[in-house]
Amino acid sequence: MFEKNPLKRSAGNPAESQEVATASTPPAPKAPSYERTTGLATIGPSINIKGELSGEEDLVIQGNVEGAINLKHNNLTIGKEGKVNANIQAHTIIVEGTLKGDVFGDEMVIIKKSGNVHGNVSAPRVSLEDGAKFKGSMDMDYKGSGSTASRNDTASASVFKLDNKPAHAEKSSSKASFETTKDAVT
Amino acid sequence: MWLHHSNFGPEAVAPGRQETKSPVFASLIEAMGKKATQVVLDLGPARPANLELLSQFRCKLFIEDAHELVEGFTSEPTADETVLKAWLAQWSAGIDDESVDVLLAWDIFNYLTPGLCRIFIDHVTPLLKPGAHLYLLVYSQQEMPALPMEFMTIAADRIECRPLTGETRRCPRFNQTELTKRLRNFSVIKSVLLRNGLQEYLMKRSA
Repeated sequence: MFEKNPLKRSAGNPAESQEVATASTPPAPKAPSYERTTGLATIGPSINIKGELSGEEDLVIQGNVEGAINLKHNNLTIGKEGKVNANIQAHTIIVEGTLKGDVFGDEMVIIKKSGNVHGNVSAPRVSLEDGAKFKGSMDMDYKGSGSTASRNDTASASVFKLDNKPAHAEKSSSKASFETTKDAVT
Repeated sequence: MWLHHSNFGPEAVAPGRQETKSPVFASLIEAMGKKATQVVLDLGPARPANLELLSQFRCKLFIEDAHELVEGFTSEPTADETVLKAWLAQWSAGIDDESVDVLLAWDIFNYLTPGLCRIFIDHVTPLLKPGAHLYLLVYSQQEMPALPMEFMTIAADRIECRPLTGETRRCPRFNQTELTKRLRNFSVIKSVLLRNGLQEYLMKRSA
């Protein structure tokens, strides 16, 4: 009728298990909020960096970065407080803050409604939310920089509406594109 | 070249916004579909709907929003020339000569005096391929919005017109002859007057 082990009862609910755990252990030193909430490598709002940033894990920027960023196989998020003046190479790039520079996304570049981008964006897929500010160019014929490109071309064509067509579809792409449009209108 | 009056009327979408058929824009999209890759220069703000439509093509899209340009005008010719030249000077350096296939000018030319129009055309024409398309809209009524409108594609043959301000100003109301005089090196290939008072033009850069 009643659970004997309170830890077992709360195992499916992270909030409850945390409550149980903290109750039985001494309070831990207060960690920065970004660490608690995301668990991602984060450059905080008070940090300024000038130079070249590279790494092999996902990164969130809430501070100021000037120079170059290379996260070839990982994702970069420029948070709402982030201000970046750099050329960027990453797998997927999400912009919620301010970015000035050229951007190369192997998979996708997403500009959120709070984002303000001034530069040239190259990615197989580009997503722009209503309200986002953009000035520059978007190259939607970009194949990506590495081995991920061919995988993206094939996989993305059937999944996302905005995707580029795969290479094998190129021969008939012009006619096919317009017919698709007409169908959508009617 | 052919010209006719459209029977398609505007439809209410939201206060101040109008949705309308855009048969000339549809012709442009049809023409774009016949080429594998396109370089498009858009003088309107970046909007998801337009990006979605253009994403159908293997496309490089340059966005140079002219709203800030028009907002900077003072109606003083010399000052406005300076504003225009400064705006043109900070365009993306990545636009090569004779590389652009399509110029989406929307309603911008209504806000340029003949002198400003000449400066603009002298700057932009070398960037366009011979035979490149120019899409533009001309107001035919007495008054037009004080600032350029935002135009969002709903489909290839439907656009939504969004005024950014309720204020209006006198409209230059130039006709096709005046238009071709202003836009030398361009010829009209299609034009349709919409019921909301906007006239669509599709023009082509001569070789």
